[in-house]
Amino acid sequence: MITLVFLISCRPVSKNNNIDYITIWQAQDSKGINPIFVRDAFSNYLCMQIFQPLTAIDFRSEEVVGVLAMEAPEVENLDSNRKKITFQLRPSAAFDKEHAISAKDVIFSVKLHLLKIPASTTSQRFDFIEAVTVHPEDSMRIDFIVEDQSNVDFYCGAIQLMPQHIYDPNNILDQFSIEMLKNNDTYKSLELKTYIGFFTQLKFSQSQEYIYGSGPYYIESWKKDQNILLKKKSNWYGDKLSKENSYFEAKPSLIRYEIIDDEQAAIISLKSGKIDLLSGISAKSYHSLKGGNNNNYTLYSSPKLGYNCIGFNLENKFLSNLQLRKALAHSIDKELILEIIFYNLGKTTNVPMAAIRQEYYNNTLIPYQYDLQKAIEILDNAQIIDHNNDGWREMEVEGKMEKVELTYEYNANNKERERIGIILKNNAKKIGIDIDVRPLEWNVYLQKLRDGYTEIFYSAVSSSWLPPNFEGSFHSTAIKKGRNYFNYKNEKVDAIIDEMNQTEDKQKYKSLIMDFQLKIHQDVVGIFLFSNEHTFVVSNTLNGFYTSNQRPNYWAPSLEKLNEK
Amino acid sequence: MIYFLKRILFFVPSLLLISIVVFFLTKMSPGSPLSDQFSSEELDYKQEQENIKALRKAYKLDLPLFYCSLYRASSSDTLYKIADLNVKKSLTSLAYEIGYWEPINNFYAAVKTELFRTKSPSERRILVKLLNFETIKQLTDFTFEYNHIFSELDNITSSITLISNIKKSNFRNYFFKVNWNGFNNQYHHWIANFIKGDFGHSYVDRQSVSNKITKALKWTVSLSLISILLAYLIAVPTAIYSAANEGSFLDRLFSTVFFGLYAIPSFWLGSLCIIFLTSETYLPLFPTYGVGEVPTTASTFEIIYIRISHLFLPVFIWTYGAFAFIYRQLRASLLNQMQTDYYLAASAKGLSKRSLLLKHALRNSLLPMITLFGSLFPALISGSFVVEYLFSIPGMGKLTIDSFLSRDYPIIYGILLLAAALTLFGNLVADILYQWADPRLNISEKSNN
Repeated sequence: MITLVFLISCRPVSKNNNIDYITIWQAQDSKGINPIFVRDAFSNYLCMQIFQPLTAIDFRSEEVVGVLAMEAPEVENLDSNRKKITFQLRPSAAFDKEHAISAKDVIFSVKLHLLKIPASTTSQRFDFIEAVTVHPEDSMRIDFIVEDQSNVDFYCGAIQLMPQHIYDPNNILDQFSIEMLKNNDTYKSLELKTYIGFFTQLKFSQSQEYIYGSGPYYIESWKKDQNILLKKKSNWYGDKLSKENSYFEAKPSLIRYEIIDDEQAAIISLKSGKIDLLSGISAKSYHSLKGGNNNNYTLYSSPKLGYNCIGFNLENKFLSNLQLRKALAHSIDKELILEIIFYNLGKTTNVPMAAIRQEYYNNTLIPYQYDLQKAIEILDNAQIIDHNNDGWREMEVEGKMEKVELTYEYNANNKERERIGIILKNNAKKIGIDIDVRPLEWNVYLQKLRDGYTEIFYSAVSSSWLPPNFEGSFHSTAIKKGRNYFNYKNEKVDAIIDEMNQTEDKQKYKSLIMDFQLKIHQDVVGIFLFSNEHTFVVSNTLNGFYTSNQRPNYWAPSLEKLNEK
Repeated sequence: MIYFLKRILFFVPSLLLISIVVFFLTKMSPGSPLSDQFSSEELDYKQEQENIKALRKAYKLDLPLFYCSLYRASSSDTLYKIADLNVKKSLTSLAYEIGYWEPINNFYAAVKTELFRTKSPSERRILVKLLNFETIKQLTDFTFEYNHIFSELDNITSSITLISNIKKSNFRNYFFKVNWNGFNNQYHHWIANFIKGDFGHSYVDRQSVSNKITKALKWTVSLSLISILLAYLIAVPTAIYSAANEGSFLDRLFSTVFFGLYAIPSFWLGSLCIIFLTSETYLPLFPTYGVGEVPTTASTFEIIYIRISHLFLPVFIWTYGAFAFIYRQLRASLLNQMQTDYYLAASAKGLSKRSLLLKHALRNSLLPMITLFGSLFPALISGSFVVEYLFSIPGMGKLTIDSFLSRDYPIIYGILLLAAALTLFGNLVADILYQWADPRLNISEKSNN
């Protein structure tokens, strides 16, 4: 019986030979596809293929391009605190044949983005919008009146348009102006309460019939935790604009995102021809694929704009000592870590920023080179010495000599962070510092970081193409109520950050960001290691693949399948 | 019969007790389902607080935890109203230091008022920071440092002055008060809905818990049932054969193979199976992942074919470890029975070996099997995270781990209570089977006596 079942179940694996049928690996399913509630990166990527913004960063040129708007907006200063941002809508833009996009759709979408709904991720982000009006002489020209803040024109353009006939079929939001929607008292209105109840229905995030925008694709089927199938719209308006920018490239008629938890299974599926593209595989797998027989696939990598660091809690009784931090910085060989753990998929950095951001990166800083002898000298000079000859150094804390004992914490199951911790521990041991390496469950780790209770921690920070803003990570007011897990407090740095956020002068900003990096480097807030690269394995049956610095570093609709002979 | 009725009646308090333990253990675990919902930087405090308030209200997290609460005389019974865990901890700590809650509450109210008033992000951050200190010294040092701001905020400075000058009353920390919260509490709402069959909605994707559990159960129960059946079908006959032919070549072979399999970690063998039996590089016999795509026009035979081919490896990986366990238990038990007087007497009377084993020894050897069987019920729904992860099967193991990691309380409660109910049920079934297997174990009578 068992033999019979075995024989029945054995069958050769069939390849995915469908033309125009791209299958992409995804490690986790989307939690919901609605631009107002989107939280995870995959859902956001799906939204980009289903909905469209007014403007966005092109995947190829990495410049602001018009999507539903013709081009980047015009910006006019109204007064010291307000700006007018004007978009000219694309005349051909449409949700479908019967629903052309007009200024009314923009106003509706802005209202949706501002709607104060529990779990909305947009209402706070777009709170700077004061009013949106249609130009009196041109119904396709729309003005945003906004509070002045950095990159406000970019953020205005990022609003994704949602069709009113699906998301508000009874035109209820027409009764409420933007000003009204920003006022809490409006939410006492029964109509608005009813509408919020309607819009927050699960179907607008989970059911394929109710997830629809002006983008090239709609959801054909969604099997939870198994796969999502996107189908290209027939007669999509953007087909005629395919040369304009990457957002109008939509070659495959079907894109299938296959949810496979295990990376190894995904790689085998790619080798078997069942998957066409793997995005974001581990450096180890990428390296082993590089060494293997790769007639069927090509490997790509694209630099990430964020950075990795080993952070110090500056309120710790030992780590508050600058010389100890300097000695630890000299005890880490970044190049070696990058080579043995990340297989050289990245570039070292000296500051909280990717070194590839040449425009902002301070190249004049002298890095803390790996030099154990120098580390020992620094500790000796700082009187952090081994008084009792037990092999460990002691330090004077509040009048008492104490052994320098520290704990490096990381989120459990992250093998790369664990290995970095072990390297730190072993090297620290060579200079007489005792470091314990301790894994913590993710939520516990996160809570401890937020509370500022970790001693040495590992942090990986992602970043966008926008000019860096360090307020949330290094400003003293971000301690415990932000991402300043270092408990770093420096009045000069606070002032630099504040000034960086206020200035509109690009040269001044550059000068300030250089000063900021210098201070952070001098204070050895942490050991800034490197920025990684995003990895791709692409089947040779695909054409049109290119990498981009714009997350998620590639544009799936640009791909097409070659006919296998 | 009365015994079993009693056992069934015992279900209710047992489940309630388990539900309370589950509820409090989950609540005590670090992290919060709302912690990822808001990034508190660059945002308007009032807006952020309103959103948190709305979410807490929607999830009923703004209610007291239980029917009654126990709190220090220096603390407050309304701390549950504070959403931010850090602020709650900080205020409690300050109150502990001085021994009074009222001045701390006044300070909190003063800071909140200013937070709602201010439009300046930097001022907001400083004010928020004020609510995160755990000692009065830290608090006063900070206000001194930012004197240029606080000198204009009279309400806050006067409340801090009051706190720092108050005569401390530490003894109040050692007295506790009990407060009756009534039925409008988090536990009551949850358990009342649970009894009505409404398990609530996931915090992560807002889907109904029962819907998510049902979908996951579909795969886990199928896999578990097949695995259990297969494990017994293979292990029981081989154990009987081995016991009857102790020391034979096949007995040694079965033992070696089963214990060999038992020693292999399932994640490792699973990975090997995926590499060698699904990859084109070696033997592409089985699909690599998933449960299979069934076309809408597929016939029953085709559906079975697709499912079997996809589930063959997961079932094997799920099952092989159990072979040795069942085999060892039953074989040892049978060998024990074969040494007993009744077995030897029956053998001397001339009963065939087959009849002796199957009719007499086997029945008496079933007790450990029944114990094992009783424990299988919760395993039916718990799933195997390793198998589900390796083969991308959207089952209960994966759902449970994901829910724990994201602190998706409604799903955690649903799964744990379901597992508890099945454990109780499994024990009851085991009791019934004990009596059937060995009528000498008259549990009802014993309990009546």
